[in-house]
Amino acid sequence: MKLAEAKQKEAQLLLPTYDRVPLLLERGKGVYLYDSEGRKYLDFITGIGVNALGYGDPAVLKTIAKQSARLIHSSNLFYHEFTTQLAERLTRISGLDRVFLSNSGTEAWEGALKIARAYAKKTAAAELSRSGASSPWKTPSMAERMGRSRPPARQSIARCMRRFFLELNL
Amino acid sequence: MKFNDVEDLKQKFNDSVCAVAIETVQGEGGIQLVSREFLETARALTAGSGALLLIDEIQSGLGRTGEWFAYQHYDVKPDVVTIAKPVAGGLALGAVLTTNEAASCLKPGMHGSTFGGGPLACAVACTVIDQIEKRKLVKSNRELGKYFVKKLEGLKKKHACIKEVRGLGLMVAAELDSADLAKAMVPAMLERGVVINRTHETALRFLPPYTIGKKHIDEVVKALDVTLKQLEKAYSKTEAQASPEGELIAQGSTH
Repeated sequence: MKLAEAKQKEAQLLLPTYDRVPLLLERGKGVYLYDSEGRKYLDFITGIGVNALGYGDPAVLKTIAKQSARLIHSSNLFYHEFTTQLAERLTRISGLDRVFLSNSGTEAWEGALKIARAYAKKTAAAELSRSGASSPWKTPSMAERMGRSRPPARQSIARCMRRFFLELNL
Repeated sequence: MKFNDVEDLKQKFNDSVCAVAIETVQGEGGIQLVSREFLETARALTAGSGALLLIDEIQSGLGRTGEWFAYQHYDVKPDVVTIAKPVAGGLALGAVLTTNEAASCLKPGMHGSTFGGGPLACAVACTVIDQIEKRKLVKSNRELGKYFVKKLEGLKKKHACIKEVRGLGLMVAAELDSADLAKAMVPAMLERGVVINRTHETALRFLPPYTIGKKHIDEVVKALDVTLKQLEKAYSKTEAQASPEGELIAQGSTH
């Protein structure tokens, strides 16, 4: 496929969310990318910080081939050996204790915001029951608010957080 | 809230805040480093009230900045860290890392994913981390980053249109004085066989692979030199500047 054809078909078929650089990429090798015209580019953006080991790293390719042949997807209904192998590495290098695995940074943030909300709710509840009267959360906190009224299921966490930050003038 | 404005943070923080979220090195914000004082203040305030400190390491994590995580350049331990981009060598994988204390609020059923943490992505992520360790790439990123910034500082002396050079490890930006010039630089660098991008209007952003050598940095700096020489005269220096203010809330645009 040529660049012109890709441009024309995307304009017809995809939602218009991206203003792309006019290159049709075909492959990568080491620190270089190659386009449909056979031109070579030194890559100093790595798919926005993703391809840390460059392209075609032999160890990565070996693992992809081996694991693809064994098991690609299992869902979180079951155990597989690599969740803990990865969690051991991530906790060791970060100094933190536990890991939740998602597909993207956006989903990681969804988890982080959910934790912030649930943790505040838990500590506010504990504090309230300890002190009897006064809460450490002096204004209506996310914890209390969420405790009071559960948001409609279709309302996203991000939207709740945004509303919350807005109210706090953050 | 204003990024790195300690007084603003102190003023706006109160006991009703459940968490403060900070991107240690703002990626989309044009490679802006959080100041030590701001991060330490956020840690002290949140620790004092029982709120959580959430750190975004999606772009800066996994060794890019010359530490495994950018917060490790500071004496701060977060409660929650988000990571993604380089974790699984190009396969989709992200993660939330937490302390035992922060995780204590979760129970089965509160959060989940169909694809998240699948065997292929996790196996590859283990290999990526092992390779980074085996090849000592975290340390080399630190050294290559210093070399890159030094080279760009040299370029700044030659080109008045470069206002500032910022970087931590291999997360580097050159801030130009014109958004139009920065915009024109991207296709002009492509013509010279180098892929870079522009972020936050005026910043040329560089996120090279950890596997580059100094010769690749030299090649890019040379291409920048020639391209700037070619283009800078055509763009005036009085363009409207992008706001240096960042936002403290998480931005999901390229996550």
